[in-house]
Amino acid sequence: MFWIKLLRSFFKALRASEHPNQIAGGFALGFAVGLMPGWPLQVWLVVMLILLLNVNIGLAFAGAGIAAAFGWLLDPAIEPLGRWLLTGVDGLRPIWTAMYNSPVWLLTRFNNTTMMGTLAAALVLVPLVFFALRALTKRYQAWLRDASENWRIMKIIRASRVFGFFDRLMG
Amino acid sequence: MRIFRTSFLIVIAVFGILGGLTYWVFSSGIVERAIERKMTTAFDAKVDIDALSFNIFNMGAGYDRLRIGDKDQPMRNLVETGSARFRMELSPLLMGKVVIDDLSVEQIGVHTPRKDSAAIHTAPPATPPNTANTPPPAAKSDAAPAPTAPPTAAPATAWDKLAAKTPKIDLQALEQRVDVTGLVKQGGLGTTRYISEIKDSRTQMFKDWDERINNSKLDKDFAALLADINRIDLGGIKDPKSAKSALDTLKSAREKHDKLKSTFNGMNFEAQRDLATLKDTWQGLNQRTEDDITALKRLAKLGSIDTRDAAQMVFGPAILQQFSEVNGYLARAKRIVAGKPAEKAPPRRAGVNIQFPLERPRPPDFLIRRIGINGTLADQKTKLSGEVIGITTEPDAYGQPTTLQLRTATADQGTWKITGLFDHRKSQDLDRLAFKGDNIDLGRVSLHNEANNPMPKAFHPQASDITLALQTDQNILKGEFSLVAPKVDFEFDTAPTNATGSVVRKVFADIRDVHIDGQIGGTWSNPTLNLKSNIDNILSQRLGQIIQEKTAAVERQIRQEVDALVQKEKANVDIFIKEKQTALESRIKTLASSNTEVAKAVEKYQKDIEKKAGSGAKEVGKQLENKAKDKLKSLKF
Repeated sequence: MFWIKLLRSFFKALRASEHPNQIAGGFALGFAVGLMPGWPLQVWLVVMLILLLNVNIGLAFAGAGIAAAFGWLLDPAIEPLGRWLLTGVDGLRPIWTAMYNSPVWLLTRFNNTTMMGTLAAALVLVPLVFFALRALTKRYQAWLRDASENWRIMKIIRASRVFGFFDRLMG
Repeated sequence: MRIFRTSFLIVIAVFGILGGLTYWVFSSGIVERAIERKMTTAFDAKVDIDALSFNIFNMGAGYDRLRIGDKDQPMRNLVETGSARFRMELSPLLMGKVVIDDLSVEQIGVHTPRKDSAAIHTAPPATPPNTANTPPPAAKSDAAPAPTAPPTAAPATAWDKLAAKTPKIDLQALEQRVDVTGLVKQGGLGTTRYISEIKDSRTQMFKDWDERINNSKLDKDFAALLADINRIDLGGIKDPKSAKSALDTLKSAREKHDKLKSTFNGMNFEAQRDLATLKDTWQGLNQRTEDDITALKRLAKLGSIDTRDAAQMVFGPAILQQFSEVNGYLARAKRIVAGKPAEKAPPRRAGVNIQFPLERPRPPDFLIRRIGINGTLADQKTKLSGEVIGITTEPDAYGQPTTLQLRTATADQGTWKITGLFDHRKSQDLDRLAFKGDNIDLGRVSLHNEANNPMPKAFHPQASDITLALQTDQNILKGEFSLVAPKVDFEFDTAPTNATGSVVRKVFADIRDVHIDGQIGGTWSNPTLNLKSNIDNILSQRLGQIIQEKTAAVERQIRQEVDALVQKEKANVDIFIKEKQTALESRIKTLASSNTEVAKAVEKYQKDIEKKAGSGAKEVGKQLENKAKDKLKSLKF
């Protein structure tokens, strides 16, 4: 039932009822959570942000699931990136050393090669995902509005029993 | 659009629920069972924790009872403790590390019995223990549970091999008559083989000479030459011409004889040389006989005994058993304290933790700085106190070895002091465990379980001072054992059945105190044991005496029988050689006389021809003179 509700929330969100920022923000924050392995401190902070900010929670779950799969696939590239950042850039070494000596920073597991690579990837990917999804949502919502108002086929579909069933299903 | 969610209260509620869940998790036994599972894996035996509790406000924890099963004796606990309370340090906990500052344990018991098996793998049912508790190990007492093989860090076979090396002497054999004839049959005599070889070689020598003389045909050649010489017709020599012809024939015969003589002389020289070697025929016989006698003595198992043998013979197996037990404790400690093995390549998404320089030492993943132990053992009579410092999973991060200091006091004024050091930092692999007991009554200590062994079956040292220490440094093994008992009783199996048994019993009856010193050395794979005791001299002296007498008697018997056997075979070969030697010498002599006969014939004919030639010349001269006279008469005027 949880997944049906989630799906319903997702479709509901895509319809014009929610602001694109809510949709893109929920998905992007969930994407950030799913990208990072385990439950380090920053994941908890992002989860709190998801709960605090008025973003779509269903899409956050969807984003986390997609990002987890995405992260697993990209691991062979992400892990060397993190290793390079931690060991290959001399300029960053004093920062890492200072952070390593602080127990709180260690809770972020920043010294793990995969975690560091994921953090770097998230810094780039999450804004990209946010802006891309926001643009897409805007276009989709405009297109959906136009289609439902003007297209004959949509009128037929909306009048059908099947649509009625899905409409009830999706709330 | 509203940026913030108005229902943020939900967030607080969620955290509240999370907090409640955490409390439920800790109080419901989930964590307790998780820790039990983890520790069960670590010890490879069942671990039970009763009433584990946490206080997340002061990071305190505790339990009412802990039982760690013994993998090697599943019906016993390796350690059992009563309640314990401890606190975890917050700062390392934030780094995901558990550092316990001080853990106080009460009512500790070792080797306590279990109602259920601690085995986590399917194994044959174990024999239930027969006593309530076992004091710290120092010597195997009959009051202790049935001995089971402890886990050995060194291969068990190495200890078995060492036990097998313990000198043994079959004193029963001294009472039996040695069957020399049987031993000769069993081992065979080198001397008889030697005599047979001699006979073969001499047979071959004479055979070769027979063939050589036959092939040379000297006897025929001498006879033919003599016939040729005898055919010279001395009567036919009437003039110089016939004399010259006879001399030419004789000259040819002389040349032939010279050749035959030369051949014969060479052959004769070699024959005399070979015959001369017959004098040395039996040169190596005595040495072979002595070798045979030595080998037969060995087969008769008449070994010698020295002071080292005596101590090892009596106490060796029992002391090895003690070292083996301590070795088992070291192996257990090694399993618990040793550092983690090298990490394998991380799985996907796991990554590698990069280490950076630390401003202060990084705490290990798991560390108990100190375990204070205080209480009585489960027998309720032995008081136990002490501490274990620095139990950790990362010895290098901790930077110090784990140390152990325990002290027990028994009801009969005996005290045990146990010290241990386990150092598994990088480039270190040192483990040391030492037991020192004062005024200890060890009870009845078993020495052997062999039937018909005249040595004491057990002994009972009282008020003993005992030291037992074992150290392993990398592959090097080092151990010490010392037992000083001012009063001791020896126990024998049955009444002595022979004189040797009586002597042994009398020796031990006179012994009032025992002082044993031993050293274990060598390597894990090849340990060695050296033992000395105050009974060595007297025991070895008395046993040596018996052995010496028996050895001398058996040696005489062996020598007599071997000599008789050898002389008989030697005489047969001597007769054979003599016959062959006489035959060869006879043939050589015959050839020599043929040679002489021919030489004499040549000389005789030479003279005869010369004589004939001289008288023939005078006759011719006379005839010529008469002819001349007749001619002159006819010419008379």
